[in-house]
Amino acid sequence: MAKNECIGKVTATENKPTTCTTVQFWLHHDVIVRPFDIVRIEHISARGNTPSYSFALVKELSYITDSAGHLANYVSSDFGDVEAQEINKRLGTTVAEAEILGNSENIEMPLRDGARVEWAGADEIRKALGVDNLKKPIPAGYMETSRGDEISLDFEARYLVGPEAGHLNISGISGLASKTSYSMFLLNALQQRMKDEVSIILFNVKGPDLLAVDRPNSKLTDHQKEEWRKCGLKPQPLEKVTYFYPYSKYHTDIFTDSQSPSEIIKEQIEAGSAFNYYYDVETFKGGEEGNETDVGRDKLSLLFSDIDDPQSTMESCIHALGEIDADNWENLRKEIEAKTEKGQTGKKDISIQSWRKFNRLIRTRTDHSLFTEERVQKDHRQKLLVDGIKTLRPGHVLVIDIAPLPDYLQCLVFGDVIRTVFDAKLNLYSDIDRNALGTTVIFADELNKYAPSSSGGRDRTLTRWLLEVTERGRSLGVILFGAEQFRSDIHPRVLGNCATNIYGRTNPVELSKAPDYRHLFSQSNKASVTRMRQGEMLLQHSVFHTSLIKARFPFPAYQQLTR
Amino acid sequence: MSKRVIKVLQESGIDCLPNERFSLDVDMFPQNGDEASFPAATLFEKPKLIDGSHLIEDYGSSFFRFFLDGAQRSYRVIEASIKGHYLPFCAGQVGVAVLERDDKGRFSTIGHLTIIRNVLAVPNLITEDSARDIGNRINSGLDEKHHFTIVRYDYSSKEDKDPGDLGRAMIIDEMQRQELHTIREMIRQNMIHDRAMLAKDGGLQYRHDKIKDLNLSKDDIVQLRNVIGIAKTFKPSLTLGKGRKRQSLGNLTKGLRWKERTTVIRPPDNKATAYGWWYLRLRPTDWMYSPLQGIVKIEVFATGNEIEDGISQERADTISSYVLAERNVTPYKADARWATHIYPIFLTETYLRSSFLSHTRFKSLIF
Repeated sequence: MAKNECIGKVTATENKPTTCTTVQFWLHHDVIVRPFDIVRIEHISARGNTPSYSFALVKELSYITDSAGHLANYVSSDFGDVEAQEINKRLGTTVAEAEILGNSENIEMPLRDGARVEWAGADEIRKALGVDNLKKPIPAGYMETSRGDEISLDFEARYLVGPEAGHLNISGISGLASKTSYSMFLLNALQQRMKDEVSIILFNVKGPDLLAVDRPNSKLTDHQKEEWRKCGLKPQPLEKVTYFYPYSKYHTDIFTDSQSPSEIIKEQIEAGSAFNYYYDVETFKGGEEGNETDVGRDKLSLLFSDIDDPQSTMESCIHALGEIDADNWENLRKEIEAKTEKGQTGKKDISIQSWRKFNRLIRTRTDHSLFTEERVQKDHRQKLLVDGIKTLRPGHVLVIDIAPLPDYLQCLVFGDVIRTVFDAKLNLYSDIDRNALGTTVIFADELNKYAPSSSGGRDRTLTRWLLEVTERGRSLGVILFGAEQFRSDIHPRVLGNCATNIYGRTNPVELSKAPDYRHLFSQSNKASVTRMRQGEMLLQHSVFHTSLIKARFPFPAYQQLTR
Repeated sequence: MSKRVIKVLQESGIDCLPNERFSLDVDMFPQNGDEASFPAATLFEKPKLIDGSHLIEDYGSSFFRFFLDGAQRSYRVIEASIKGHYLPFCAGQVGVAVLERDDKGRFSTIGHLTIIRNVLAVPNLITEDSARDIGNRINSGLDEKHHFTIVRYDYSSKEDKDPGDLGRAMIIDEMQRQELHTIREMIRQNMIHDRAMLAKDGGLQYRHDKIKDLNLSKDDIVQLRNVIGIAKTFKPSLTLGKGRKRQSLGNLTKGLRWKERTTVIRPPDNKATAYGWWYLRLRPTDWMYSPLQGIVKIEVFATGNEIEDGISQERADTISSYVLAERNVTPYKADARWATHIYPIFLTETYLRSSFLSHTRFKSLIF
């Protein structure tokens, strides 16, 4: 390998020796380096005269001088004269602490004192990070070095969407972390690279954010387009997208309360890609004939996700309800109301008061246009979510708008979808071929609503389902991409099952709360994650040779709607 | 493995024993050793300073570009029985280093001007030829960078002195020769001039013969004007003037205010080697623990008319302002002599010290 410009030399001292995993080097005073830069360092070789090269990722930078203390510097300014000028610069140097990523000859011996430190080339950096020679690379962004090199980064598909490993989590504060933008970039990459293998389900949780993901962003600049190309992708929006809006009997032109501009919905209607989902009573009955399960009635319990129910009274009521005979919502409500009357026959494990509470909640929580029967008029474009999932195919995207719904209905819809997909993968639906769905990636923002960190009590139905998805999903082909503001709010087992973690900008309070930040992040990483610019993320992925890589990603290529 | 020095001496017929007191207890950076020899100093400035002191303008800039330090580390290594005398052999390392400061205030070493040599001082009971022979035999087994220079000390020159001190004095002498040799090299390479002056640690009071040995041309000797000695210590008991005006140096300097200098003085017998010196208060008195702390001694060579007339007031003021500008940053806490140390020389000294062989390594060359 040809020698590059020397930017510093390794320093090994009695107190700070180099080790198999860490190295320190001092820097030439004109060189500018920042954390996450990657350098190569000359090392011994088993092949005689030509040196081998070790690669190291800069983690921390410090500047040291020969000053014996702060007081010495104070004295050096004429005993505290702030205007005093010194003509001598104190002897000092920047010392970088770096993590060893590997060696060109797989030598693991500690680096020697005085070894040359050079900039690493783009190919060398990719190799050192472990992102070269991937079987199926999925673009993950690109990194910028202090020297000005831009290096594309990739995830390995097998470790992102299974079967080897799966699930992804993104955290970061709202607005500044660009969690949704990064998720959409990654989903776009999946669609462009794994068109025949991956189907996508998205939940739109706020405003009209994700309700035009198939419309190109006309404001994309040439520079922003170039960023997409740097990642090896075309700057284009998602394709083959179907939108599911929550049904509303009002708004007679579009029959939904969605916050998306009506002209956009109308265009989607014209293109045949917009439907309104609703819930009929059948959804809450048992499984299909021959595959009877309690899953239907379990879905009813999703309505009570936000109710504090330490005695599981609501759950008991649902199960005590037995087979539901009613064929419409009015009859179901009557059926439940009948349980609240005195003089019930049979076992009386559940008190009348509990039934009355259950009845009251069911009545108020199903008092929404979503709970209705199918209308005969086709212009209502009603469609059950299960039917949307049935027609989902690799390369297709299903966007489900839950933004207009209250929290408990958002939990119902989200839980219903993941359960339906999971059951479909378990072959519990006779008319859904599990292979036809391909690998289904489900993206949900505000994951803390669905899988909150356990407060010591029993996990809720929805959390249990999510645990099942993250623990068994990757082998079945159900992959969860979750996002939230604070990782500390998420159930640790859900996080633990994520093979890929993305860290956006966060605040110092969160750094002291979430274990990841406390244990995985160095001081400079912590500083970095609290002041990252928009469009920057820290990536952690199974195949990387280092715990964190700082990456940039392109601006969204779809039209970003505002309220 | 190369032969140890003691082995070579024994093979040369010298009955020698290792000295149990292989002493490390030596002053590594002796300066102003000759000062005490002057009985009294006389005024040497033109025009004469009426008040005896002068406030220096603090311009905050300096034309010092190079900084030189010489150091020696000597040991009494072997006691030998020669011709009925029991005399010590002293060994040591002498070195000189030069640092250059760039326009941004940063320092770099000048490799070819950093010289470190090993010296063995033997009593002059050993003849010059024998000493040369011993030197050759010692060096034949050593790396060139570890070669010894053999010097002979006159064991009988000062009866009241310990012969070990006389041996050590020869090693110090070698260091001074090396300092002057380096200064000569710098002048010959046109490195030193009015805008790139050399500040040297310690005084300039070299013996006349050493200056003469420099063998400088008329053009080169002019550049000695740009070589300045800055000494951190001085003897306050030294007297200045005669008769009623006679006063000790401590008395003269204790009254100096910050940024003030004394008048230029010279030794009374300063004829052949012309130089003068004065004292400058480098640090504010409020923060010093004694009236004499923070005062440096500045020495200059007198050239041309100055030899007769004395150092010009302008020159003394200008050089004082340069030295004053060097006061920051300081090696406070890193060196006990910080108040009179200027940082570039502290760095040169640190660099030189770190370039010496360790005690253990040096001892291994001897035994």
